Amino acid sequence: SVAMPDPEPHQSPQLLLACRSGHVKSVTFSAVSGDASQPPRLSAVAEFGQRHPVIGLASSPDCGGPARVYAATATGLLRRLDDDLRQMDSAEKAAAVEMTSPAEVPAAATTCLTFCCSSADSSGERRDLLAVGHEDGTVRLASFAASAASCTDAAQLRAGCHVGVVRAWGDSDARLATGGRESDLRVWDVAAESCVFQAKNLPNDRLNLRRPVDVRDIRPIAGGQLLAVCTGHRELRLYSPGEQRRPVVNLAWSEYPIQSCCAIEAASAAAVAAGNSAGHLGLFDLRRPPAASSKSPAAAAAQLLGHFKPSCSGAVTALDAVIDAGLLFATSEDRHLRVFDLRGRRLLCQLYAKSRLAGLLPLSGVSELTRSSVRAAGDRVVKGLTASSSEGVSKRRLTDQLYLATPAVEGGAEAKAAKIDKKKAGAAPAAGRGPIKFSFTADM
Amino acid sequence: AQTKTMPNKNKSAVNASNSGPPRPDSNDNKKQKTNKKPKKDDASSIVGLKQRLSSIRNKQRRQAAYQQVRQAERKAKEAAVKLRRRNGADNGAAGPAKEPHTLESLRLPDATMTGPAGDAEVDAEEAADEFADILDAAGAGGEGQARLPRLLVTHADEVGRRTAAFCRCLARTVPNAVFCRRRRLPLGRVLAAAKAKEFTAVMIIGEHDKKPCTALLTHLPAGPTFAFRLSSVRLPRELPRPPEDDKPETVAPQVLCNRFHTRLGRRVARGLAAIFPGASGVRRHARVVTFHNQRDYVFFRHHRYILRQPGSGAKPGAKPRCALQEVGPRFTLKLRSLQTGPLGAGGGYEWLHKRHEMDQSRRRFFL
Repeated sequence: SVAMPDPEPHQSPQLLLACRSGHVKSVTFSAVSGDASQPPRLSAVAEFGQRHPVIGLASSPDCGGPARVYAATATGLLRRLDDDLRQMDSAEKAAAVEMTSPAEVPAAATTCLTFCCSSADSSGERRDLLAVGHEDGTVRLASFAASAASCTDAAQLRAGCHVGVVRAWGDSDARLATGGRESDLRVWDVAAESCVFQAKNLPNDRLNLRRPVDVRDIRPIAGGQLLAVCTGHRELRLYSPGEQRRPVVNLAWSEYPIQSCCAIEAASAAAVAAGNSAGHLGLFDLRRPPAASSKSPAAAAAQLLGHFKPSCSGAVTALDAVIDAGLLFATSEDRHLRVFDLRGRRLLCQLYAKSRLAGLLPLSGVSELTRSSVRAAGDRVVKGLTASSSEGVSKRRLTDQLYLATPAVEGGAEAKAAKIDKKKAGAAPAAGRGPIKFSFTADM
Repeated sequence: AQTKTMPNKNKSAVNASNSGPPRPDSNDNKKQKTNKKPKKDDASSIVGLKQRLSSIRNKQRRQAAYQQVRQAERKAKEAAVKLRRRNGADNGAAGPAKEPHTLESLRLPDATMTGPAGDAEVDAEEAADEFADILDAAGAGGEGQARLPRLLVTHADEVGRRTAAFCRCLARTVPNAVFCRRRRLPLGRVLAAAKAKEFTAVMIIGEHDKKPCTALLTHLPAGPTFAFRLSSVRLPRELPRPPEDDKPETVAPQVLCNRFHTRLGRRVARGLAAIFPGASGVRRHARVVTFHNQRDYVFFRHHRYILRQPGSGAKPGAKPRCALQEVGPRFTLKLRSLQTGPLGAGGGYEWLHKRHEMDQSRRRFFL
């Protein structure tokens, strides 16, 4: 009979949630796993007020020091959060940290936020560059100095008539992808502030009508060589900016607009998880059709591997995956955070967060999570969502296995060699598929 | 092989050689009735007995045997109840009367249910939601005056007389409501016209098989969209005691929303109550509109009430009596989905009913 240890007050949270009630909440899974574990702790880290729904969170990548976390609200406020992200007391909320907002708050509502890059300016000070997208199609590049509390506008980009999502990658040659309603995917060079890639729409459909465009989410794969895009017209697309302007893969899925997606990259393998506005979550293989092989023309390359069950009750607003732990985090409009097991696509943990969730940010502590620590936590009241349902995964045939050939961009010879190896290994089913190897830890 | 095809005969042969108690055997019918006398005070033996009864192949004999067991059980239960009533809580054997189990009492607790103490965060969020300026008079943009709700009731295209009559009833029940025939107008034009004429909500009644079957409630300009399934619709003339008069209602009704426990339930309750302007408390005679939620079905009732104070000849502790007359339509709503944003804005679902996933348990409710 071991006494239950008190949760350490300085245990760092693993996730941050952006709430439409104006809060930024942190989720801390207890370090103790097993049946004596406590439910994950949810605490408010920042509060903007009920009139300022928080729509985006971004953090600088870890490079030694603590990550700097930023939050943006739909009303145009942009603020860096406390470094230690400790739970705010009511006294602290009253005397709130000074709100940082630019000199001119733009008229259009803010829709998205992402961290572009961090650089040292002339005086040697660290400056973080963030991209903030607005409903009128402008993307504001805001620069935060490490010491100062306010930001300055570095530049403004015009990215079509509406920006719904911005994503950035790369450090020295930072790239920014934008997209929205009737503004197709654009990739920008942040330093040069110029558009280096603009997607082209698919040809007219068989009624000769223009296909409408509604980019809802963008995720870079393979360091930006591929871009996974999900649209409000129920399509999942894969773009290869180095090759062609039209999508290389276009997969139709679901009866509802696909609101968010996330790339799940393992060593030389990639899958995409996507969620739609009805709460369904699916795992997809967006592999491109093999170029030369026509031996099995009937087998479609890009396909749905399976759904995550049970689905969310409301629209999926943000997705993030931790590949090492095999976890998928999903926030939705039904006020819940859900953690799924990537391999078995089963729900591990469901946490009620009291407010409609608009965004998700995994912090550095998330890599320490394991499936067992998450599985034992959370509030699950529906019969069947017990630990036993996820233990059945290992017994089940792993039907969601696939081999993903390295994309042809990286060299056709490697792809061909990989295909020949698969044939030798006798992978089933047809079209040379085999298990995708996620590098799970031994704890699974 | 012989042994396998004739298991019963083998068993009886084995049993005959054993010195154990005689076991029930489908071939040995004479022994059955004597063996089946149940022991009254041994519940486990009755359960075991029932399991053994199921091996009787002959339906008539099997049913007769079950009947005997059930009669014995019922007699035992009646005796226990009698004993309990006579002795009250002191009877250790029977124990105090227990609460009967109902689906409501066995309901699976939902994490989103707010307890009796309330929740400051939930209250704060509701004070800032789309209905706050209608429901909470003080919350309207600093002006201090509540926004007056105005409902537009319309129906799907080409509906029958009954649905149109129901729409007219609704427009009479809800104060400040207007009924307009659809006349093949596309929904986009209906909503644009409603926004222009400053309606705060639009209700669209759909029809199937000449009966109203769906209700779509949209709040304008930014409000959520509720999709309900309508059932058990009764017009005022079809009520058990239809109101004799057809007077137009002049008084705003009091709105009661009962048993909405979860966050979704509260949102639905607020969305339904936001069609009605705020009534100024309980009057001496007025009308009341009730949305009663039970097991995720929302029952709508509309009554006129008169509070009759006790007269001069009444006892000193007498309370005022309330006389009720049901006037309005009756209908039942079941929430199918709740979408953010007004109709046509393409907002995501805040809640969507998925039968195969959500209806797995009879004890799980969402409102």
